Amino acid sequence: MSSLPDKKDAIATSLNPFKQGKSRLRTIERIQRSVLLIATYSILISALVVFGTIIKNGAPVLWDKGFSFLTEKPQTLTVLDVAATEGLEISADGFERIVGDNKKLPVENSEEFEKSYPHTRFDLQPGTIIGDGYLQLIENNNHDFRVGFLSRSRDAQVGFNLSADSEFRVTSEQLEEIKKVDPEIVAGELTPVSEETNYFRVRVEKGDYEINKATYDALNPTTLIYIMLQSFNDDERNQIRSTKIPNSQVVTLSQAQYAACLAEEGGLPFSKVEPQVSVQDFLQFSMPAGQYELASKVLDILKLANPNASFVSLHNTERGAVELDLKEAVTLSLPTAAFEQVVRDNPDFKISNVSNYEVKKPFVRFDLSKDAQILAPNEVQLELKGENAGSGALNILDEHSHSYSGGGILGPIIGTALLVIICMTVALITGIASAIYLNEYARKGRFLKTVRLAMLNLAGVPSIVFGLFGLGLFVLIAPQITDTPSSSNNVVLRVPLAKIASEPNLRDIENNSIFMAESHHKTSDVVAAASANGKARFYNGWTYLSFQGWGTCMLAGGFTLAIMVLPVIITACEESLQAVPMGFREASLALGASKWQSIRTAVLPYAFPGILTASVLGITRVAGETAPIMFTAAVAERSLLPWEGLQSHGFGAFLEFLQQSVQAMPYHIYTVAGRIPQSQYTEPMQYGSVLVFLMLVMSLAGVSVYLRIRIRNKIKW
Amino acid sequence: MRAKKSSTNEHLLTKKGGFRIMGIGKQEAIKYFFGGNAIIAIIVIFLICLFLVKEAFFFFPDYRKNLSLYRLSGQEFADYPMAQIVAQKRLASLATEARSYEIKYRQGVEGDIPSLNSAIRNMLRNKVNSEITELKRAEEQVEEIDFYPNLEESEKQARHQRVATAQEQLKKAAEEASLTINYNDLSDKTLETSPKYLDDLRQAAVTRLVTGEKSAFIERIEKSLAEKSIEISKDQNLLDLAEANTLLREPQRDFDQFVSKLRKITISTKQQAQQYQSSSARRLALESGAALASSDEDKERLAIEAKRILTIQPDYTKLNQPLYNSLDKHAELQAQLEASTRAALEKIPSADGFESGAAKKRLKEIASIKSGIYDLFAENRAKMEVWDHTKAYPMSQAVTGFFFGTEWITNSSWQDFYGILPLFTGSLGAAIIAVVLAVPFAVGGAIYVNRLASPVEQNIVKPVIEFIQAIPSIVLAFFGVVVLGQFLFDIGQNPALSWIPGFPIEGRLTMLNAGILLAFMATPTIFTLAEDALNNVPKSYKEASLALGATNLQTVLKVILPSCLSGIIAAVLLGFGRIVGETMVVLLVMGGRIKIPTAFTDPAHSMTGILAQEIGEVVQGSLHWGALFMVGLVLFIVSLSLNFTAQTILRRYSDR
Repeated sequence: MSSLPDKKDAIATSLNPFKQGKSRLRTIERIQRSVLLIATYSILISALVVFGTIIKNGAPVLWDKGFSFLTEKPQTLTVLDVAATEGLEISADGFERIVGDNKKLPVENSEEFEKSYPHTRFDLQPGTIIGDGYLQLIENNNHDFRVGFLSRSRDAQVGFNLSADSEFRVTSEQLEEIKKVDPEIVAGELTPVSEETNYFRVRVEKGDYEINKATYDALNPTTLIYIMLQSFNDDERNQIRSTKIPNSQVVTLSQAQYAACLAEEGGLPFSKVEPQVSVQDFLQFSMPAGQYELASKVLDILKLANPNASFVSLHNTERGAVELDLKEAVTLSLPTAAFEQVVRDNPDFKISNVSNYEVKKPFVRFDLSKDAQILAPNEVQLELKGENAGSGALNILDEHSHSYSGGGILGPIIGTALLVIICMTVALITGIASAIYLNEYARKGRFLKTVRLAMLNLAGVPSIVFGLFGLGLFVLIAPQITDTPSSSNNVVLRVPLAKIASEPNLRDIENNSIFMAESHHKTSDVVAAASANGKARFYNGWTYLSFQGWGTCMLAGGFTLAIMVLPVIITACEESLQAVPMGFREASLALGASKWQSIRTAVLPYAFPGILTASVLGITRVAGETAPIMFTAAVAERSLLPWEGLQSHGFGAFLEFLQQSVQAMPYHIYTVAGRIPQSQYTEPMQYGSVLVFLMLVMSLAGVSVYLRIRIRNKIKW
Repeated sequence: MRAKKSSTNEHLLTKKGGFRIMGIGKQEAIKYFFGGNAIIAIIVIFLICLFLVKEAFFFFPDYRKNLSLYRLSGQEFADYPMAQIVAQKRLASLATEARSYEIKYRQGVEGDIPSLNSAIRNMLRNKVNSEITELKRAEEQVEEIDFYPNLEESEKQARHQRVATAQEQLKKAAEEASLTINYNDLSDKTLETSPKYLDDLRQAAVTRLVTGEKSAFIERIEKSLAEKSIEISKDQNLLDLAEANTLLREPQRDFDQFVSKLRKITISTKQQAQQYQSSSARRLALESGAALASSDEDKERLAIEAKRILTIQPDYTKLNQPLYNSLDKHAELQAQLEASTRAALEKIPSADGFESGAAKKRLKEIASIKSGIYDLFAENRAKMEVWDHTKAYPMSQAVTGFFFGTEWITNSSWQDFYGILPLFTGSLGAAIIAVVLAVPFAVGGAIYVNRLASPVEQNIVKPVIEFIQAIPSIVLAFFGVVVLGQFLFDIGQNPALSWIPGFPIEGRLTMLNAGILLAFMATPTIFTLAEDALNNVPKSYKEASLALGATNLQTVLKVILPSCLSGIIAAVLLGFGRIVGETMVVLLVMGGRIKIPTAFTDPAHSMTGILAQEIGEVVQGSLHWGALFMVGLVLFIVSLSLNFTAQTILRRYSDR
């Protein structure tokens, strides 16, 4: 029908009510036509320009980095200017990565060899007491090993060096305490000493005064009630501030405090002073210089007894030691040197079955013939520095680093995949169900009209508003069943469910800052007490349904995306359901099938291709979105993949897995393109990730467009 | 296979009825399950409204409280003279800029050469870094010769030889490396220089690097520049401008001192007021902490600390007295300022005598704001005279302050303002540019594909455009940052375009850049919907028109297009809605300057962009948080009403 036969055309022209000269008409038509043609094709050409630029700049990057771009996590890139040198050592993997990233590196005389590390294997027995730092060391070397605490004691032995002979003066109670823990150190002679302490009872009259910082510091620990508009900063030694004493008071001051208040300018005048003396008996003993191993409690007493004695700490167990919650022996291993240190410093380190073995690693030793520049991701450069720290072969002339410019994009790709999976699970279930309802069950009426209106409007809501909504609902308010609810003031509601909570391990109590309370207290009191003590969570034996939100995590992000994509899925699914001819349903119903049976057997199978298209379309939309996940799920920096470093087991681990924030492709691009300082080193990462991302999304889009065309053409009833 | 199928069907037919719970059978349960899911759309819309409103609800009362303090502490008073001096300083800086642009322009290409020279030299130095280090080391070794008197002669010669080789190598390397340097490599692209100087510049850099001396070329250029600038500075226009500048700057110091004194007073008043507020809260917290404390010692300590906190309201009348007293001094200073500004503005020459586009632009701006400045002076003076810190801050002013406020200032040590206008105009500006660009292409394309193209063409173009729709916005934003920005900037420098308002473009990230990308995003949406609308025109229209003898194109343009115009308008509105809500492009590409844009090539900020940028760093429940949710609410309402209008048009159209 697009053009009429010539003869008719001729007649039409002669009868033309808009009659114009034929040739002029043709010219105008041709011009108009070509204008429209240009408009159409310029859309396509501009798309081509966008794709072309990105492919042109991105393809060389992918070619250079190869497959490793997809299998490495994003890292900080360090640029090292290294002097020509001989005998650099690094593991074979590290060497491969350095050579792979630096094609022009002047490597010479590379030789492979095996480096062996002595390790010790041992069985850790229940009842072990160990310092925090040492436990950390063991856990770093044994990735699957994580253990709770039974108890923590400040009684850990602390090794220290007393640099000179010192005298200590203690009260008899303190002496008892020392003797109880460490009887040996007071074996020498004890001299009784009595000491007089002067103190003053003074009266301060009501009124306004000008005081300096020394006076202020002296008065602060006393019971004097004064009012100051502005307190002193540390550096305001000579400043004078006005202070107000609201009523006349009597306070007790020590000699030093009293002296501080006597200053000519900035002191505090007293109306009445009563000097008083108290006598206290002490016992004095001496300790010769040398090395000691003492309980930390004793050390505290000694430090108080003689502030001038100089203790040099030998090893750092400041937080004391913990008793490990071990039910049975665990086989662990450590590098031998570290093992020996742990055994030496922890007397209650209970082990059996100690055996030595060697771990062998392929290494490469190589020379650099000229000064060179090495680009290396963070872990590689750390390895290079670590392995050559002793030999002095690595001479670094200059070093600068660029965040997110090294490594690959493994983390973001996985994060995006997980977000898409969560989102599509939620969106497809609700989307298909509501499409079935709307198309098969609902009668025309007000309800249907409202649903359709809501859906049309939902489709027009900006994605950033969905982000705000997700932040408000999923991140901050969504309910969570937990034994240790948050004590933040922002939590709307906490519903105690049942008294079945299991008591958290001491280690979790410390790490997660949990406030422990009795179960008979009211929730509001516990919350107030927890926040007054600066604790983030509390435990009182009850399991709560706490509306504290899920936090920034992939679950929140997935749900936000699901809600955003819902209108797209519902509309597409409905379309495919509508395409199934009415006759199918009627025939099925006529055969006596129930409504659900006929939907299940006569409608859904034929609508399946359409539903598949809808889901691919949904994935395309979701994978490319940045705004909704910006503050619901995405983080810029994350060194672990989502399944690494989980601390719970079983179902708890699954929940913990879902409650992590993730890196995501679009957010990663936003970070490298807009949030970090740009340099020539960030550019490859930008183009590389954009190209991979574009390829992913566009292939999905291609599939959905293809499927749609196929359905339109093929399925005709 | 067949037998199995029939048995399944029998099984289906026999098993009917099934279980019932609370009077609901299986069939109904399934129905309610599906129905329940269908309600989600309604619930979500409702929840979105709820959350936006919930978080934004306390914004206006809180903002009013915040602004009341702004008035009570006298900051409002201090801002009036501040605005006067800022406006006057703007004049001065425009004049200065105009002068320096003009001088630079008149110096011509040669004016760029000194800075280009040093840039190229630095690049060259980086490229031959290793050779330079080698030369330095060799020279060090030669210097060491004096310290080792018993060195062998051959060793000495070897060391000298090493220096010579190193010099030779440096020269060679520098010459080679200099050839790889092009203008495009220079990071500062504002330098427009003709390529004929490139060889000279390379040579100059090599000479400087190898011998440490200035080349003859650079010396010649510097000399001619010096001569030129003497000549340029004799120009009457520039002399006038310089004189005006001095006049403008003359009274600024006294006025500045006056304003900063006022600011100091008011900021200390504000600190006292804030301290009063926070100390009340702290006292309450300490008292409740004392009640809950476990040991008597803690209890006593906390109780004493609570009693030490002062909760007496500051005496604002006393604190604000210096402000009322300063009015006379201000009158005097303002008279001075006004007189010298008047004198200066008379001196400022008209834009006609100037050659540089940038200078002309600035002089025109001076001319446009010059009449307003005296009004501003008088207006602010009048406000200062009637200012009264005890006057209550009305709610309506807080509301209009948000909707019509021209400042969005956050995390300020002075006073935060939450005015949505700069964000709103930025969003709107970019969207209008986008629609103006997108509509011709999208509608033209729809007409062509739907009515004129061959079926084969249709089958190619339509899927491809659908495909374009799937390009993620962050990818386009990236394209805008790294490619389009530079491209537009280069075009914008062309003097042939300087007659367009807003040109020459003065940055890479602008509203125009964002608008073009948004147009690209909106085109597929508008195209698809417009094509649908064209498709829905009854066939009989076309047949009737053709039967009357109209040509194909006449039919399309005069019959079909008018009949589906409402569908196309709806398409454009929906496209507009999509653009207004788009985030990543405007966040990355628009430049992020929070100021009402005056030309379409200015950088700007947007409502969506500000949300994405700031909400992650704001304390939950703070005033700023409320303001951002308020912006979200405005955005939500704008896009809903756009969407709703489009749907209404479509429905009315399809009913007809």
